[in-house]
Amino acid sequence: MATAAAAKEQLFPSARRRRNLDPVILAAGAFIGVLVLVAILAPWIAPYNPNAATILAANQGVSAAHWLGTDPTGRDLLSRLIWGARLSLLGPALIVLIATALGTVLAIASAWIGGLFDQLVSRVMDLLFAFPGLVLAMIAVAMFGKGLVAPVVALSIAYTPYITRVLRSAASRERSLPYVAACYVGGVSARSICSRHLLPNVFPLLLTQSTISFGSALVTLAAVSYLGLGIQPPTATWGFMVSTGQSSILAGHPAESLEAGILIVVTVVAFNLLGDRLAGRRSLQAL
Amino acid sequence: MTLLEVDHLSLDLPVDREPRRIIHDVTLELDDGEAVGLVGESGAGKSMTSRAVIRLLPQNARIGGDIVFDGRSVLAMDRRLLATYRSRDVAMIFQDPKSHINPVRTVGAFLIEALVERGDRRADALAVVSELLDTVGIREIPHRLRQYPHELSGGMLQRVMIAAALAVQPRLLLADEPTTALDVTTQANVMAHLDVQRRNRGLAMLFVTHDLELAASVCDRIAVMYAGCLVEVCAASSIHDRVLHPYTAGLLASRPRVTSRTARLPVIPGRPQAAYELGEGCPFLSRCPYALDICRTTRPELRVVGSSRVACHRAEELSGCLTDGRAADRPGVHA
Repeated sequence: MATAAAAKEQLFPSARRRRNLDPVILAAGAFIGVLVLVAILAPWIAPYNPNAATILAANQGVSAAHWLGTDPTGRDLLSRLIWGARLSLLGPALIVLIATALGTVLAIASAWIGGLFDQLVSRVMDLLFAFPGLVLAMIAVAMFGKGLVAPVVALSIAYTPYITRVLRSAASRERSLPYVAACYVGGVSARSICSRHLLPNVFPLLLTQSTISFGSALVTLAAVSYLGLGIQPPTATWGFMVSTGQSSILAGHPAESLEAGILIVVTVVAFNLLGDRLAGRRSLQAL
Repeated sequence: MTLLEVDHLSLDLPVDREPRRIIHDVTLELDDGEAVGLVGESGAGKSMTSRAVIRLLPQNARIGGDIVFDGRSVLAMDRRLLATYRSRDVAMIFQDPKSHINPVRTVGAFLIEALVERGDRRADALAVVSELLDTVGIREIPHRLRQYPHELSGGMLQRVMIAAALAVQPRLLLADEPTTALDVTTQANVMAHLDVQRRNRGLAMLFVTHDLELAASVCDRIAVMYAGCLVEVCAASSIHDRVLHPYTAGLLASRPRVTSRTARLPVIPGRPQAAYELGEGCPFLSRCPYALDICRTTRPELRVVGSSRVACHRAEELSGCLTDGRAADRPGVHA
């Protein structure tokens, strides 16, 4: 209510408030921003062709020529990580986008319509909760083949209930508030109330929920890649790099697995921190 | 011409699956351009009556009787008719503007919403509401339109709500305690704006309040409710010298006066009854100093006495005695 207005002010602060912004949000946001920029600018900033094998340069350590070393076929790891960022981020981004869109529509529709429809949506979501995302993704791959599309679609469905459940309860709380009643006795149509009143009021929650889901989706998608069910080689993804680097760990060259692994962890932590802090701001407001 | 007809309206709400009576047989008409004040204690059913007019009731409410607006039954309207009726014919002003306006949207967005919804262009709608804001005494309008509800004071926000209600050019205003949530000086200001605008536009108004004085000052007629029943309907001008129901008299007697000092204000003995607690007799029975045997056994119907309508068996004999306190000395007149 009044807190939602304040929450908006908190999430998108006006200039005089900006200096009070949480440093964690700032740091995590900056890291994610840089990552996205790197992914977009990959063709221009990657020092080498990520797929060009140079057998003479195989398994090199950190050097001036190869900042993060090379893999057993002599491909530059930094370039592979930079290029890998594209699909490693695009995948979860698509998942979160689809899951959030689907989840928001379902949540607001069930909060608005209520009754049997609401019950039905809730039960279906409960059912989906029973399937771990990874299992769903593997079934999808088995049915539709390896690659980006099948796991992304499967994980989108798997993440929808996380969004739906949280938003539904917030939206139905909002729906019971007097201003919504005032809207419909004022003759405002149901569609307008849902899109212009309920949605903005649950938006802060939507933002935190999808941010946290992003980190989780990134790990799950990396796991799919790790299992070799995602994007196929030679295209680089972080998850698959962890997997291919495994064989050279025992040979004394842990760089590939380690670097890709660290990048995944740091990125996920950044997303989780961001989501967490955004959620924390909300709950502080709600007190 | 009769604009609104509340015809033997009754309302039950289930509490633990048991239907509970909230409103009992309320009949009331409102002419075009007329203001009627619906007065009563908390829980008397006055808000519910006004909400029934716009069909803003809990889904499990059971309604009896009928509500007729301009010849059409409101209770029988289908979805589309109801939406048109709500957006064009009536407008409601709520008690607490802060909770009835979406906090995350600007005042401007709130004001033009209903207009844009029915097809007006944004720019036109903005011009209309800007002019209305000016008439309800709001300054720096372009700035106000960009502000959020929490940046405005309660009184200002209530004037915004009034402007929003006027913007759709309704024929009937429903004002549900529009000034109760405001402090006293703001109350007077907001009420003055509402009154002036209503009169200028010739709108009918159903004004719900527990402030008899306030209702008398802005309305043409007063309808007094007690325990879900209508007990008296009279002209606002006669409220001070010709009330006919002991309850109305009690309400009048229990307010403080500026002209004289009393150590202790007279009170109506007992507590307000709820509609579902009533027995066979008169709803006011347990608190009435003039009760007779007939009051215990038969519920009085609303009937015409003089220029008013009143639901009291002894209206004729008590007439004229209630307001000057003489009747209090002789509880058993003609008993």
